[in-house]
Amino acid sequence: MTGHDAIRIINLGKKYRIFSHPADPLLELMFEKSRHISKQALEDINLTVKRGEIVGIMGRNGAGKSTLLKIIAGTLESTSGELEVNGRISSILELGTGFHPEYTGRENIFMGGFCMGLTRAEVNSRLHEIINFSELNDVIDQPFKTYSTGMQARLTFSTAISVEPDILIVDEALSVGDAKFQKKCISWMRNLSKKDATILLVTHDSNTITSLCDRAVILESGQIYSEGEPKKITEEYQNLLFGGSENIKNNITAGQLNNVQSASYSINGESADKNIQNKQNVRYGNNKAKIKDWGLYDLAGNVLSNMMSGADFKLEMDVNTLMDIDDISCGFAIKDKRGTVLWGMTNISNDDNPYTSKTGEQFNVTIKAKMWLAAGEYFITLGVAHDKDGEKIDFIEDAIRFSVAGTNKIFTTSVVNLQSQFNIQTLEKN
Amino acid sequence: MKLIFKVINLFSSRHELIMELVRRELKDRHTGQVIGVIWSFGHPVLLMSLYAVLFAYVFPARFSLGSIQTDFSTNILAGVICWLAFQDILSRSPAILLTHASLVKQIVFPVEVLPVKTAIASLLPYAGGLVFAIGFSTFKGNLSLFSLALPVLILIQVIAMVGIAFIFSVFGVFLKDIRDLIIVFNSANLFAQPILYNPSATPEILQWIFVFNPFSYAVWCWQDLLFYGSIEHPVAWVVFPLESVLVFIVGLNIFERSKGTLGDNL
Repeated sequence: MTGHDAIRIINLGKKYRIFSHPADPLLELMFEKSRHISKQALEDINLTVKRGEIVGIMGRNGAGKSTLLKIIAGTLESTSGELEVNGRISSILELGTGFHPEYTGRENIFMGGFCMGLTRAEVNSRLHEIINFSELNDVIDQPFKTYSTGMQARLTFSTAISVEPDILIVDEALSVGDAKFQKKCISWMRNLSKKDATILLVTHDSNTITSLCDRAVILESGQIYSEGEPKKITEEYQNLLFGGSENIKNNITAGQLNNVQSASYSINGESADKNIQNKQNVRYGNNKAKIKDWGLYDLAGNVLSNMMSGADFKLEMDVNTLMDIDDISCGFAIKDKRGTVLWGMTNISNDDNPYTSKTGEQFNVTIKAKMWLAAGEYFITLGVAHDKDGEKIDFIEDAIRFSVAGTNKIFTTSVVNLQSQFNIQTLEKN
Repeated sequence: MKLIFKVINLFSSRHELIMELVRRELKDRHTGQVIGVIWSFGHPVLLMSLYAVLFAYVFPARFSLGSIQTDFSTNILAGVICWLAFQDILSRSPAILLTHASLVKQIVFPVEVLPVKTAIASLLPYAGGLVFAIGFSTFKGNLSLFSLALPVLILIQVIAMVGIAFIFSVFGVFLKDIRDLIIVFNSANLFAQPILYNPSATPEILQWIFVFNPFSYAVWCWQDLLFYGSIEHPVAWVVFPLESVLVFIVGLNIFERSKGTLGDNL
């Protein structure tokens, strides 16, 4: 292991054995005849996490996220492959485990501390800090069972982080805390990672992933489905959840028609817009229709990649229908570099009127608008979907990249152009 | 050998956790009761008093030791306290890991401390019973200087009990029926040890059973200590420590080997 890797997983697999009768394990042991059904919970996982890295793990229920975290934390054993962990692990795998409901918060902090290998004196020295972080000063001497779920999460988290771990493993525990506490935890985790600690985080919240993680991983059916830059991965995850029910991965024809230019960005904003590189866009859907041609134009029909704030423009796409669809919802969305949707419009948002198209037909979608965004780089996502269940027919993430200029009189951080005029004058004395 | 060092190291570094867990277990057993934790200690004392009264006064038990007629109720108490502690850990062991499933599965936790704490929590309440037995022994004039070997005997007993806890806590996970087997065994084993019998008038068949019952040797050691006041059963003083260390090593090995699969089976 190199000194930079905190966790290294090679071809890791986990098979659960399911016995239908309690006597079966014993009989199997005695007669060496298989009496169980195997369930492959994890298969061929390869993952290396560097020191100081924050990695987010996403995946549907039952995808194997918790199993993976438990194996890394050491509470479960893998059945194949290798795992190397370098450093002191603290894990929050479930709310209030190791905590006894009848005991007070304070007593539970001691218990939790002992479980993590602290001595009484060490817990005592951190007690104040833990209670303060949890913001439970008023109720710390009441039984743990009287706490709300959010309060339990706060105490669990505060206790778990008091050891300043080298590797912190958090399994969805944060999601029950209120927004303020979540924010506090997130900034705490950022600081921790600056001190070279590694954090593994399971969450369903795309925002947490994009705002906190350096890298994201999607687990699907016990395997790593994809891995990479958080924004791209969260988009892919949304697609995995809401996209077609068939094998979606085959339908992602990344950058089939055009490799769009896109800005790479980093969470910390350090290399945010400097480093422009060629990145393939993400395309997915059930293929009942295909977006064939698209573009951003001025009213005269010229292709735009730069425009002045306040200019008129139109967005167009042509769609080939490959199967009869009677509930088409289609349109465009403009996103900023962080993936926040700034604007979006479909026929459904326009007049709640789904479009019908027959096999072999082609239709054109056009939106005319005024560019009231402030100066910056933006991306346009194209989408065709079923209105009824939201299943995606053809989506192209960040198909078009364009920049806006001409708002040099307002803050450079402005998002929109309010066509503002500034006036300052001395008032007459009475 | 390495394993033993590892365990000693673990226990010395985790003694605060173990003691906290012991404190909690004793407290939790009687939560919601009026005198709570006092029951933990009171129960053995009451039981011992019962035996003392029964065998000293209700069925006055006498046997001849040489030419002197001796009251052997102390002998019974010595055996009873030893067996009660063993019985306690035997019946609790299968549930140790099952009741702490969340600790085993959900957090990074030194699972080895669980059997250890249960063994200690089983033994501690008999401190009261032991004081009673020593008092009774003094009262009956059985105590001698040899009784100073008490700490050694307690240590041997603890090692044996921890070993038992290691073994049966694992069994409890993989073969849940063990719990009921142990209940039956506990009831039967009271009569298969040299506890309730007059040592000088035991049928030969029983004597053979005693020899083959591993628990007998522990009982004989305790009887030597509290009743005879000298080594009357030298074989027991060799066999009991050996048994105890053997059970501990076997238990530890079983436990360490199955540790990784516990999470899957709970």
